[in-house]
Amino acid sequence: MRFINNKKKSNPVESPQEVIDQPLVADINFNIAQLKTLLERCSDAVFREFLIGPDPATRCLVIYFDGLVQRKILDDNVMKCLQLEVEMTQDPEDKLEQRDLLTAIEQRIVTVAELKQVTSSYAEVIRSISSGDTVILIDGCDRALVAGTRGWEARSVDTPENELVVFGPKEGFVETLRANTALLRRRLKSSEFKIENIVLGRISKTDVALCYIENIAPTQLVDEIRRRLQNIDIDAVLDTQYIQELIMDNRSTIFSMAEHTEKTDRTAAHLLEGKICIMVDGSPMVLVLPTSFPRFWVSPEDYYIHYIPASLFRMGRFVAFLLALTLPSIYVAVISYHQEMVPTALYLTIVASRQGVPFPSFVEAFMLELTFEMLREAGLRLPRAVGPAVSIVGALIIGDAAVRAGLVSTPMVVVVAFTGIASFVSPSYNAGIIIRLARFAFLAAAAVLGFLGIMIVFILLLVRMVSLSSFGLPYLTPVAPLNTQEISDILIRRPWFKLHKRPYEEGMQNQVRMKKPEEGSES
Amino acid sequence: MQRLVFVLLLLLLLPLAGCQARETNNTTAALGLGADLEGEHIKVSIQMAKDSPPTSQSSQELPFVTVSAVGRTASEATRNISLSVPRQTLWSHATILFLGEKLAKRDLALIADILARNTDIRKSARLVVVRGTSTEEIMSAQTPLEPYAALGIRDLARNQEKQLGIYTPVSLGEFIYALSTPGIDPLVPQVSLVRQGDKQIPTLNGSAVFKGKRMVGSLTADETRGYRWIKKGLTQGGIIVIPSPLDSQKRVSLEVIRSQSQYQVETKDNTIKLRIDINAEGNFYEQNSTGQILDLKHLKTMEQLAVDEITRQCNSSITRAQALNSDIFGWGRAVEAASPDTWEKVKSDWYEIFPQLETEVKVKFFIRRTYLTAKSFEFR
Repeated sequence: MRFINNKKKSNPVESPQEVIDQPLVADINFNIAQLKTLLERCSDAVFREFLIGPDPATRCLVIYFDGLVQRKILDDNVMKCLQLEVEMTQDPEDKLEQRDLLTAIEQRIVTVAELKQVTSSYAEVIRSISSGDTVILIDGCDRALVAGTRGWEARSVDTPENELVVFGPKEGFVETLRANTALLRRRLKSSEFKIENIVLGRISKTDVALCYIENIAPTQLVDEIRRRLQNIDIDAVLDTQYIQELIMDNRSTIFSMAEHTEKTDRTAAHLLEGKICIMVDGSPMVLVLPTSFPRFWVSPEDYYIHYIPASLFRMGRFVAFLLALTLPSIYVAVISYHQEMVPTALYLTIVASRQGVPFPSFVEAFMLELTFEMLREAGLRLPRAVGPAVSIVGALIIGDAAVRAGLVSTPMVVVVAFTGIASFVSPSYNAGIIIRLARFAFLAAAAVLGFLGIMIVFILLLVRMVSLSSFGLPYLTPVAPLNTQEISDILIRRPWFKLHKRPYEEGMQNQVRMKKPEEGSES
Repeated sequence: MQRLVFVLLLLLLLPLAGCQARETNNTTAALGLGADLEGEHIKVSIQMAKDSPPTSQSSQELPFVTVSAVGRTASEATRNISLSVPRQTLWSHATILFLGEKLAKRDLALIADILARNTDIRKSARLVVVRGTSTEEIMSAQTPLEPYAALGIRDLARNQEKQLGIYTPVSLGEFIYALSTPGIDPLVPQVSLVRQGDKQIPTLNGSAVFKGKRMVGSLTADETRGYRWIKKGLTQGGIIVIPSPLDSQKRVSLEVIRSQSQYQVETKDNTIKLRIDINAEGNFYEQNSTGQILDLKHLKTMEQLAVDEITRQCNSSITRAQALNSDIFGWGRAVEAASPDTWEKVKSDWYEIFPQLETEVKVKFFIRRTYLTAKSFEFR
């Protein structure tokens, strides 16, 4: 108690919580004292006090966070100008009002492109310097100058590791929001491409960008998403997934209701189809919504190669999807229930290799699938140096030794390995997760009821999927509800010269992507 | 809470699997099924594959076992097999059925019902009649090359059809159809053990002729060839040997590409006359003499000789079928198709009309090509 009392007496300042919302005052000493209290024990905060102008010189303060500013700009365009130019531009006879001095500095002296005068609270000052701006305070003036000097160490634009393509653009987003919006702006050079800024997170004060193309994206949807974003009350937003879970319609489903991507071209393509993108400062992942399940099997690469091979690859991808989902369960169902379904020669081979395996095929499949999932999970987090060791252990121990020891049968290893490969075919990581989980449901059902069980789970899965909607868009669009026009760009890749319209969406304003030749001649 | 109960109930479903699931470790695939008569009882034999793959087996040991059991009914006999076999047999993999001669000659009703009714017996399984030995014996014998003898015998009928063209493979479904349909009787390839060197090898040997519910006799290989020509519809593959047009002691082989057979039924004044149009096409394949025979004149002669040979085979087949009084060609069906009214009248006493049925075989043969050399082989 005594300590607190002492502090109150010796210091004119109140506790930081009370200080933060107070406005700046004209007395620079008071301002400095308040700010120092606020930034107590923040070792990266830099206070630079100095004098400007002819005698009697005016006291001035430059405050910034070290590491968040571009030092060169600060030195050359702020400090140098303030200290040298003020003297020269000011007529010693004509004493300026302090407010005029601030305006003069803003308009004639500091040579930084982004510069504004603000009347605001200490909170605003803290926010500005946290974002990497530099705040300039002048004695006798209750306003501050904010100079845009942002610049820090960041990852450079790189190829996204999770979405590899052979053809087409390879650039991916980075962790800096501005860099990301710039990447998009470079692809969509139009004033119709809007990037709205919303600040979320009580502590993190994260910049969140809501991107869409006006006149294509449904206005209602944009308004609704903006409203939901503004309603978010959370201490920090560190990744787009936070946002997704907080604004989702249906919160209890494992199906991803939005698409995550790191690729700039993919995001631009989505924007052009009337989708809305949400970007979060500090995360390279962009949230695209609304989305539908069949879209997860569309790779941006499909549109960069000839449409016939692209269509074939896409069909192959759908086959791989079905196999990844059901192959182990089909195998278990056949082996334990429907032995007559396989050709005799194959059946005899399977029987021969299963001889002596002590587990029922379901347990065998379950164990192997689990092992595979573990290997996969471990592989994600392995330090580079141990990677080969684990893959050798995985391949040799699981693949060879387990078979030799008679713990698992060879066909089962083949089935699980094939399924593993097939599950990597999905261009969207989210969809891959669904497959991985659903596969186990299929497996259990196959063990209980054979093909009947597989069918039951399949029907339940479909029922669940058709009942979902992602921000108003039915989850299986365009399969259900069926849209013959659009499904042709899902099952196969339609050639560009046939893609006259954008995929339809409720409330979409402008569906014409390309004018048909005869329409073109009319207009 | 309700949700939890629901999940628990779902989990309780899992152990239910026990009743239905047949793990491969507890089952064995039946490759061939056989039925024969032993005394007054039915003897069922099953050829089962052993678990280990045939390649890893020493050549001495057969990769299959044949187990037999006896019972008062076919199903009792099959269940009796479980007295000595510790595994459940999966009949659905049996693609060949062996019918013992004794059983076939006694009464097909002993097994017809189970063959038609049982869900595990494939209707696409091939059928053969075992001639001269017991079913069990032929099912225990080994076929060259094919490790599983039952599959080997099944493939004999299929393979010879393209190469040689004597027998027509019959599936259980076709057999049951022919048995249960008026106006057509089944003809089934026979298999018997033939000694080759020091081994008894299952070999196709003639065909069994059925009538009503029993087997009434057999066709020789030559007569079976005739059946194959006459049989309605398209036939492909096979070979035909005719005398050489230059020297009647020498032979020429013609390869049959395709042959199309059609029935023309003429009904006049209560008499039925049947014309069989056979339109065949083939290639010159080989001659076992020298001499230039590949000119227009000799080709024409050879075509005529082929026509003669085919006609002879057909007639011998018809004579034999009429003697056995079994409508293996399905002429009754042909009469019904051509003139349903006539068939209604003759249906009941068809087997009195059939032996005396007047038939005419009209054959056309066309030689299409002669392969690599246009000239005949010459020694110089």
